[in-house]
Amino acid sequence: MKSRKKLRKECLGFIKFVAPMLILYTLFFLIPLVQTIYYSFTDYNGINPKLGWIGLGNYRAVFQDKYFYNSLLFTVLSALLFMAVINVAGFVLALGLNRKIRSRNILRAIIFCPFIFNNVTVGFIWQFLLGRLMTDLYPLTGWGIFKIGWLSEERLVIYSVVLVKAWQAVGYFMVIYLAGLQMLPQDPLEAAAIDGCGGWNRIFKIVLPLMRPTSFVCLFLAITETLNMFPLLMTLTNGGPGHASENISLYIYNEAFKSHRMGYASALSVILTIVVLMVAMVQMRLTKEGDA
Amino acid sequence: MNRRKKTNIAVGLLLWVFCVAMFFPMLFIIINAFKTFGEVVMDPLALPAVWNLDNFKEVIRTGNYIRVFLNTIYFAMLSGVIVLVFGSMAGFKLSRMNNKVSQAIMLVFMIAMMLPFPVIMIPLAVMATKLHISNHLTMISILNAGFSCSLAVIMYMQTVKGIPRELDECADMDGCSGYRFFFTIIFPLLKPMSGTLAVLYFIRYWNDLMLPMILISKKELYTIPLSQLSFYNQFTQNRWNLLLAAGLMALLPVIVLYLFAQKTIISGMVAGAVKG
Repeated sequence: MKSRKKLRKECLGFIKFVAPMLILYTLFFLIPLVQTIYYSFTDYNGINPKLGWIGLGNYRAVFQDKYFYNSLLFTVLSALLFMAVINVAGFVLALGLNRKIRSRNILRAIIFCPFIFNNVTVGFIWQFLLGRLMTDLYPLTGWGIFKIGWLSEERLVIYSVVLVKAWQAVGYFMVIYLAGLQMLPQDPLEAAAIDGCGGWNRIFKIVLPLMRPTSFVCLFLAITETLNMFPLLMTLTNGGPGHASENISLYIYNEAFKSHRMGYASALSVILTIVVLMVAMVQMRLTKEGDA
Repeated sequence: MNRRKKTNIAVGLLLWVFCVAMFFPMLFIIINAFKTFGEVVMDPLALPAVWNLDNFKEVIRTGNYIRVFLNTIYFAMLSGVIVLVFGSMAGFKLSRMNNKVSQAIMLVFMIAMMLPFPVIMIPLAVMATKLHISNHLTMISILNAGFSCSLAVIMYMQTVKGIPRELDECADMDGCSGYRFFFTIIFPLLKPMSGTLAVLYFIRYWNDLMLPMILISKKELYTIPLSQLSFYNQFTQNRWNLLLAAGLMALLPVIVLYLFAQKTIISGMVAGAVKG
């Protein structure tokens, strides 16, 4: 009798406290997620309310779509490139800032600052710098680096995009590494110092292995950041030149809202979801192994 | 010891050089935001002949910027308040339940943190048209709060763990329970976390482009990133002086916030990354 009363109270509490957020979350995240899956089996175009069921038709089309492979390739390459650049840069900066430097807090604040800038502004700023300003710098300096069309050459645009994203996010990765460095257990470091292990040896043989959990976080965070960078792409290059800097998120947007192929774009979204969840599962596995 | 000090100074210098290099681009932006269009076209490197505020004035006038500014504040604030109030309630209860059900619900909440926005973008746009809530800032804010609440729920759950359960029982015995207990006793205890989350969410919503872009088509309801984009599309001949001025104006509130709450923002974002 008592336990039933308790259960009822528990349920009531759940409804009163958890339900408001959970309902909003369900309405505006979970249901849309399921709807995306449903749309992916239809020829929905956003205008005609009658949905035609076409089964796996969209998926078959996706795997024959050269722009899909193009955007996938760009996404993977930019993610790998970004991962490498941002983690090395972030870690090196964090090592520097972890020393007893007097202006440490100011330095940290300045380097982190671009991360809170909005993507639209960052995109415009760099479009101006790379596309407009550089053409004026070349006759002045004669340096070949300014002559190159950093945003207009298909071969180079990926480096420019990664560079801009890295400029924006390097402070973020730096502070995460810095927090990791400050939480390191002191004993192994002191033991190493006593045994005369210093400099590069200390960093590569002791600090880096101890930082494994933080590096995992940063590596996977880099993937999320590249998947989410499409507002930046939109204002920096708008996927151009041609389709050279179109990542999968931007491709989904263009298909859905420019070409009005919502069913097709939904199929792309489903594929993206599966990939992201797979990556997340790998991450969880690896983190668990790292803990054990 | 002495050698160590020397290295520290060298590292410090290197870091300063890096900092300056990183902020060099911003210098050009500030210079060009104060120039006339002709000056920008002629020579983007030169200083402006006169430091005038004409560009900013024109952005405010043609972009209807005051309205846009207020829209953005309304959108960011309302979404933020909903997330903080409902999110803290949910986080509190889920943390107290601490059983299979609550763990499952937490996992469900975590899905949204992993997936990029395009995954739910299409149904959201369709739903908004069907329910007639596109071009309705209040409804859009509620919708926004709904799919972006994960971080708040999870962070509040962690914080509530540190508040002893005895408190709940004591208050219950004194006849204080339910919402009254939560809002008079627990919520004030969560203030530091609420402050951090408020700042983080405000920045996120202030900078958000995608949701407003798919749901808002009326010019009077534009938020700042959206109006920047329309500014860009409006001029075939890129009016960089205006675009850069608009960009600086978009950054200003966030930079001011950053000056005051720099430590909170950085530590909050680190915590969010490590937990998510």
